[in-house]
Amino acid sequence: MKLILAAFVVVSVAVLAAGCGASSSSSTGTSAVTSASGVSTAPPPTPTSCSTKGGTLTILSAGDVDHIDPGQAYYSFTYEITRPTQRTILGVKPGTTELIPDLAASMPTVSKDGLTVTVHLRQGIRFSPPVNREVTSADVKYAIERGFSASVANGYAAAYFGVLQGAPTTPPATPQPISGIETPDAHTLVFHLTHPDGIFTGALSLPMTAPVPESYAKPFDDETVSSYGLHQVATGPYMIKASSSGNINGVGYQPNKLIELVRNPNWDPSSDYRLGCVDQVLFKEGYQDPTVMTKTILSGSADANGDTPPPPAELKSILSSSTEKQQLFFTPTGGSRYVALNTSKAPFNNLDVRKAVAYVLDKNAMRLTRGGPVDGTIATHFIDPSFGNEGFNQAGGLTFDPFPSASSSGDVAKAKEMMQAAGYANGMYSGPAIQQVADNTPPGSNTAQVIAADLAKIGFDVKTVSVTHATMYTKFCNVPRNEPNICPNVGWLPDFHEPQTVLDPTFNGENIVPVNNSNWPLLNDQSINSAMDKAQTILDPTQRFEAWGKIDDQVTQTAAAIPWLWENFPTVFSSRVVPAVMVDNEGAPDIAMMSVK
Amino acid sequence: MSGVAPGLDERSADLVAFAESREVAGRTQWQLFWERFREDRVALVALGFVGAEIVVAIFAPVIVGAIAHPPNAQYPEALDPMFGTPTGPSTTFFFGVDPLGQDVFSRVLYGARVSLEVAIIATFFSVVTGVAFGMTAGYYRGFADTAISRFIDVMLAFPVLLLALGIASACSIGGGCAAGLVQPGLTTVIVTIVVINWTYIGRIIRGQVLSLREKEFIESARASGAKDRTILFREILPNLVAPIIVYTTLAIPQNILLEAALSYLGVGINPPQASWGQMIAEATPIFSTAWWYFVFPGAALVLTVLAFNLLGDGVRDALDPRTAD
Repeated sequence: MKLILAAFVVVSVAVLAAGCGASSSSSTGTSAVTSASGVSTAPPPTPTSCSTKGGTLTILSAGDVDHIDPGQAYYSFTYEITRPTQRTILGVKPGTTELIPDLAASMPTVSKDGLTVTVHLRQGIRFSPPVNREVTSADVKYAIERGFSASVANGYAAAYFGVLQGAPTTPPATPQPISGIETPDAHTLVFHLTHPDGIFTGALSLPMTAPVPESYAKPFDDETVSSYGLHQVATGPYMIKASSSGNINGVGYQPNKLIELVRNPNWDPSSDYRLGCVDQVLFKEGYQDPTVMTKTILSGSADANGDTPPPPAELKSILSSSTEKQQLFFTPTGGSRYVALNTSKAPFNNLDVRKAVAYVLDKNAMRLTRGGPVDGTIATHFIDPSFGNEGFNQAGGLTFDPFPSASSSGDVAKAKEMMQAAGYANGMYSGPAIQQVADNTPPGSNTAQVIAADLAKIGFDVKTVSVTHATMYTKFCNVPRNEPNICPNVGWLPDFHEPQTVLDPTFNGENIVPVNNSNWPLLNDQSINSAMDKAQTILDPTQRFEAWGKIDDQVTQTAAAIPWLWENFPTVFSSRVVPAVMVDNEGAPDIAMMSVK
Repeated sequence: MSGVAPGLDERSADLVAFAESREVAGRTQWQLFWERFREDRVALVALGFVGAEIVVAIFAPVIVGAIAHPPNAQYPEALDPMFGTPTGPSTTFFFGVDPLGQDVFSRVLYGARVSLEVAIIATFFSVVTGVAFGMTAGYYRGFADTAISRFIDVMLAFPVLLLALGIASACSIGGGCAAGLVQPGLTTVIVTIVVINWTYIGRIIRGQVLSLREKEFIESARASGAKDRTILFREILPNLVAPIIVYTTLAIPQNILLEAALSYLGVGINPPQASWGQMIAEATPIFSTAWWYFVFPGAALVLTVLAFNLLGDGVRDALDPRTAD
């Protein structure tokens, strides 16, 4: 999903192996590898019990969630709220990227031909007030169906669940039944697929599979844009504070100001891997200044950073203090940050112009805006090192760089050559000014400025529109109609531990949607699309990772997007809490596992 | 005259001869002003500073081209390679660099251009507007006066900073406002300042005109058949020059501060263009690790405003010594 979030999980290949005789290869994805800067990327030890029960956690963020509705959420910060409140078919083992049953009683079984996936749900899981009743398979079925409707418009519904028989090819206005999801009884789900799909099980960990009670939600989902998010019910240890009728707007959810989580009275701790130690969690938004945010956390007035990393000066100061150092953790995100070029209109509909941009960008300077080498490795393609042997090496490893330059600082001469090949005399752009929509707070704002300065070297006059991170996505970059020439502050994390999740929603032309679009470059290359469609059907993990490695190569060479950082995301905690991070979600604070010391 | 009266001594005769040999010329208002101003040491120093600053601002591109780096050029090699934090004053970067590796010395100089440009242009337009409305209201009285005065009252009732913020925010996004006429950046700041400021000078001028129009020389001009227009421009306006000058020299530093405030709050001059206010805003959170980025633009702003204020005081004192104590 969108950066700041890394959700990669070990696909329980054992299951698939049983189904299709493929060789099993599992990796944990937690790479306690020391990054090039010598700073450890080991996560904090995963808590196994609560230090104390009760208390309040405060998480600070600059911006708001992308969508408060778990059926629409597709952003790492939002997952910090959906993970503790919404139980999905499969969950993630804390401190790892391994898939484990959550709502499911056991891991799903896949038929020999790969066309049927069966899930048995736990019994006795109940919705929070005001619904209160037990969760059934019909609720999960409805949750998946509503994702396809235009009123919910989930950004990955087609990418991961389009393989279901009967899945709509054009979004219906309101949720419609999907024949490929069968509910033979109240606690069993049978998914019928149109073709074997190597990654379908991984998709069952996504928030779109969190149950939604149809009779309660239908009135909201029947609106043009569903307002169920403002009335959502929960199944996890926490719920967003709501009125007695279930309304969270102005109660537990004050957009751009505060999200308040309280205990879900109907949660049964014995049925859950989550600890649920604290009584209340406050997400305080609007901390535009990352220095103030970091200092607030270090002083103990807040407990963790939700969406913004500590700025370079603070990282330097924390790492030089022996006590504060203990509170800072770097987590490999599994994804990359990149600069997306809009290929649907001039000037970036021209391959040579895009190559010129790929050559001219000073990736080293861009990384310095986020803190330099501690922040990660300069990226040369999209599948990142924490994929380990599966996928990263197939994608060419560290050495594959179609647009190399000395110390990754950019090669202006080569860039000008490309511009000349595109038809611009002297290698300088001579067209109208172009537009980029960037974050209005550091580090994103600084990165955008570096990009604008680099592009000026080949004659581009870049006009920067500065908006909040969420607005950048929801109003501009995710809406093809409103998209500027450049989206400089985008990035992508794996939705779960499969290279498909890094490349398919983001570069497959078939996944371009009119809202909540994640294919920011609007890349629609037929040969790449069909290579991806083919790779999706490969059941053998090794062959699958190899196929996606080749696709990574192809996509990188189109220069539709220029990757520049395989990030180790810094998370800083106050000294009063026992830290826990979601290793599969970019090191975001795992509030369901944290407790007050 | 024919000879001195009998009985006057020789010394008196010398005096008379002396007086006859020289014409006693009356000194103009301006000569008086300059003589008084010359005696005010503080005002002279302030004038010197302001003059020097204007020269530096005009020649900033030459100075920066000769001894420093282009203001918007980024030098990531001047950042700490481990953490990307900026480095301080050195022989190549006199005032250090900012977090993007830009030369702070160059940006301070270019910031002077922006501050002075905005202050002078904005003050000029707000004075022109205020004088025009003030003269109309004060001279013609009646409906024009009522309408203009009440409008000024309403404008003055708005909290200044909030009004400035509101206008600037509305016009700082995307395509600007007033159908794209007011673009984000310099134009927005100038328009905001003009809208805020013209009412003050307008009120002052109206008061002045009200008292002037009752004076005898106006009555005689009217009696001799002069048109209103002629009276306004030939008789009244020249007498307004003094208060206009005083107001202008006091308004300029205020407007420099207003531009800095708007840029500090993010609704003024946009990066990468250099502006002291915006530099101070960025420098505040990293003050403990990058003091130079805060101190140099901050000092420039303080000294500039102080110099203009002292100059304005000196001008006012020299124009009207009665109010000097």
